[in-house]
Amino acid sequence: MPVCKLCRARIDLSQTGERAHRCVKCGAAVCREHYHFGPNLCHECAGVPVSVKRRSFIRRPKQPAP
Amino acid sequence: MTFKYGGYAGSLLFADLTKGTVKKIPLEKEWCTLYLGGRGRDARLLFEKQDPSVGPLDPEAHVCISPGPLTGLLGPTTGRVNVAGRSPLTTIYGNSNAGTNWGPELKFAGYDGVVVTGRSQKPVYLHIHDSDVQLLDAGRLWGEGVFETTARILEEHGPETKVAAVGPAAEHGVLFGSVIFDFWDAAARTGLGTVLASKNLKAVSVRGTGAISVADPDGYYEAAREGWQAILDDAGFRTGEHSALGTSICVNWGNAQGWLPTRNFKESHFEGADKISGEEFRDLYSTKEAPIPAGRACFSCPNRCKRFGRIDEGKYAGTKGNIEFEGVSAFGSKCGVDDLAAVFHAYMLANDYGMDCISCGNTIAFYMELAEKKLLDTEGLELRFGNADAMVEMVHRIANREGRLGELGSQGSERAAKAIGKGSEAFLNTIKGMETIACDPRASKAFGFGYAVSSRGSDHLRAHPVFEMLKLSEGVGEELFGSKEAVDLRKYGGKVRLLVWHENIAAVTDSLGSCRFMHASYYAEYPVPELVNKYAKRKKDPAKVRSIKYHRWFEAATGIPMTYEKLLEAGDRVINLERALNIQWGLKKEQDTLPPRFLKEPIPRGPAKGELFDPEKFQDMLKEYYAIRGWDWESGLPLEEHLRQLDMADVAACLGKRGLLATSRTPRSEDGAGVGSEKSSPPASSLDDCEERAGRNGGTPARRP
Repeated sequence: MPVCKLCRARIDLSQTGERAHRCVKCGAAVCREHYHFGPNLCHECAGVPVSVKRRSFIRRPKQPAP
Repeated sequence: MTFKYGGYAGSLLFADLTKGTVKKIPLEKEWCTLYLGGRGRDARLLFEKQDPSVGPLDPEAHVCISPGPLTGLLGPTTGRVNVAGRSPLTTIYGNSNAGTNWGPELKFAGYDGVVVTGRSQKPVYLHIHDSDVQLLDAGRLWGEGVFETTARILEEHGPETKVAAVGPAAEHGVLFGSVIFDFWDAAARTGLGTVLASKNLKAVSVRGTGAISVADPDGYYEAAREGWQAILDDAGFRTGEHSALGTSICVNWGNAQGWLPTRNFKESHFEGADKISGEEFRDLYSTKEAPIPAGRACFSCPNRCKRFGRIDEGKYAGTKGNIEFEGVSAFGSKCGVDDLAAVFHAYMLANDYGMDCISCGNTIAFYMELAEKKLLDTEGLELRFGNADAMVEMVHRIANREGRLGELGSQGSERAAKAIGKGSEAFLNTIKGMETIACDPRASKAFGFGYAVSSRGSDHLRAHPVFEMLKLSEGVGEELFGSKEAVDLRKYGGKVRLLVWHENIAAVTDSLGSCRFMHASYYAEYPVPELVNKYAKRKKDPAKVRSIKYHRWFEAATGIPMTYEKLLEAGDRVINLERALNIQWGLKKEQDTLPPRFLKEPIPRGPAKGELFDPEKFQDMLKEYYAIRGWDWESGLPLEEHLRQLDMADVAACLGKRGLLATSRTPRSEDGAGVGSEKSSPPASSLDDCEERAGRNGGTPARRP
C-alpha cells in the first residue's frame, strides 16, 4: 500500500476513489491532499507550502473534566 | 473442550489491564454452536464472566470486541465487528456493531475476539501483530482526538494496521463515548467507548497476516457466490442509489414517507430535507476526482455505502470524513438545521471526540426544545431550532463537559431531564435511557414497536424492519407474517411477527459478522426474493431467483450442521440471553414502552399527519410479543420452559437462583410476587455461584421438537 511522501498517510487503494498520485517531477507517490492537480506535481515540487499538520477541530477542555 | 471448526480462528484474547496481562483462551464449542459468535458469544461471555453487581465503569467490567465466524471470509459484507459490555448510559446490556476492516484483520491475526477487563494504572493501548501481543504506553495519545490517535498509531506500526480508538469525550466520561474503527467506522451506541476509556485503554490496533480456513471450501464458495449473485441481482442494488448516496438516501426517502424526525420529534417532515440530503452531499462535498463519487467500503462489500466527502471552503473548510444518515438526521432535521456544512462538521466533530452522534444530536435537540419552552438556562447560547452555530458549540461543550449544559448533556438527555426537572421529561425521546434514532415511531409501526422492546434501548438495528417501508405486495405480507397490513408502515397488523422475524435474523447476522444490509438485500426484493417474485407483475424465471441462505453459508464455513429454523432459533436464543442479562441488571417490564410523546401527540403535519402509536394497540402488541418470546406477561421475566427449549437450561438455573425467572405463564399473584417459587430464594452473586453451571450440559434440557 503506497504511503504519501509528504504526510506518510497510507493510500488505501482498496477504497473506491482512492489512488496514489505520482509527481511527474520527483516520481514520488502522494495523497490527494498533497497533489497539485494542475501541473501534476506534489506540493513540495510545486512550491506549495507543505503542511503535514493534521486538521483536528476538537477543542481542548479549559479545565480538566471532572 | 478443544474443537476445530472452519471460520473460527479458535481463540480469544483476554486482557486484564489491572494485572497487565494478555492471555489466549480457547473458544468453547457451545459458544459457537449455540451462540454463533459476535453479538451472541459476547452476550454469553458477559453472562458468564461478569458479576451482575459490577457497575459499567467499575474496573471489573468486561468489554468484548468480536467479529463473527463469517468475518474476514470471502463473501459479501463480511466486515462486521461487535462491541459489547454493560452500558454506562443505560446501565443495561450495551452493544454496538460496526462495519470495518478491523474485524477481518483480527481474524487474520488468529483471534475471534478481544475481551478487556481491569483498569490500567496509566494509559495504554493494545497492539496485536499475529502472535505478538503487547500493551504499549499511550500517554502521548491520551487527550488526542480519534483521528490523530489513529494516524499516530498507523505511523508507529505501519499503514496496514487497523485501529480501534476512543476519543477525548470517552476519556472525559461522556456516557455515550464511541469506539471508532479506522477513523470513521463507529460502534457508538450505548457508550462502550467510555467503558474502554475508564480502563485507561486508548486503542486496540491489530495487524494480521494469517489466513482463515473453511470446513467445506467448495460448498462455501457456492454459498458465497449465491450471496453475491443475490445482491447483484437485487433490483434495489441495481439502481445504484444506495451506493451513490449511502445511507443518506434515507433523508429524502424518510421525508417523503413522513418518518424523518424533525425538531426533537415534534414533527416528522422537514422542510429543509433537500438541503441535507444524500444528493446534496454528493453534489457539494463528495470528493470529485474519483471516477464515481467517492465511497468507502467495509471489508468485502460490493455496496460502498460509506460516503466520503470534504469541505474545501467556508468556515468549516478542512472537515472531511464519511457520513451516515443517522448523524445527518441527529444534527440536521432533529435540530432543525438545514446547513449541510454545519451538520457534516458537527458529525465529524462527534467522531473525532469519540461520541455517539445520535445521542449527542438528540440531546442538543432536546435542549433546543426546552429552550423554546423557556425551561432551560441556555448559558448565553442562542439555543433554538435551526441555529447551526449553537449546535456546533454544544458538541464541543458536551464532549468537554463544559458548563452546566455540557455537564448534563454528557450524561445523556434522560439524566439531564431529571436534573433540569420542570416537566422537561415530557420532551424526552429516550427508551431505557437511550435516545431514539432517525425514524419516527408514530409513522412507522414496526420500527416504533421495535424501539420499545429492543434489548439495548431505543434502537432500530435490533430489528431493522425495513420490510414495511417497501410498498411490497400485500400477498407477501400475508404469506410471511399473516396479515396484509404488514406491508403498510402505518398499520399494526402482522407487525409483531414481522418484528420477531427481523429481530431473530438481525441477531443472527450480528453474530455471524455479516452486514444488516445483506438481509435487507438492498431494499427491493427483501426479505425473500422468491416470494417477492411470486407476487411481482413481471416475474423472473424462478430458477434464476437467488437469495442469501445464511444457514448454508454458516454450515459450509464452519462445518456445524445448520438449518434455517435452527438459525432463527439461535437468534431467539441470543435475544433471550440479552433479556436475561438485562433482567439481572435491573430492567423492569415497565421499561418496554414508548416515550409519552409518541403515544399521546399526533404528528402535526406532513405525509404522516395525525399518526400516533395507539396505546391500546401497543399493549396488545406487547402481549403478543411476550408470548412469542417466551416472557411472562405480568413480570416480563423469561419463562423457564422457553429457556429450556432454547438449550439455555444453565441460564434458566442461574436466573432461578437470583429469583429472576418465571416458572409458568400463570397470572401474577396478589402479593405481587408472581415470578415463581424461586422468587424467595436468595440471589446468587454471579454465575460462578450457580451449581448448575458446572454441569450445564449435564442436565437434560428439552430440545424444541
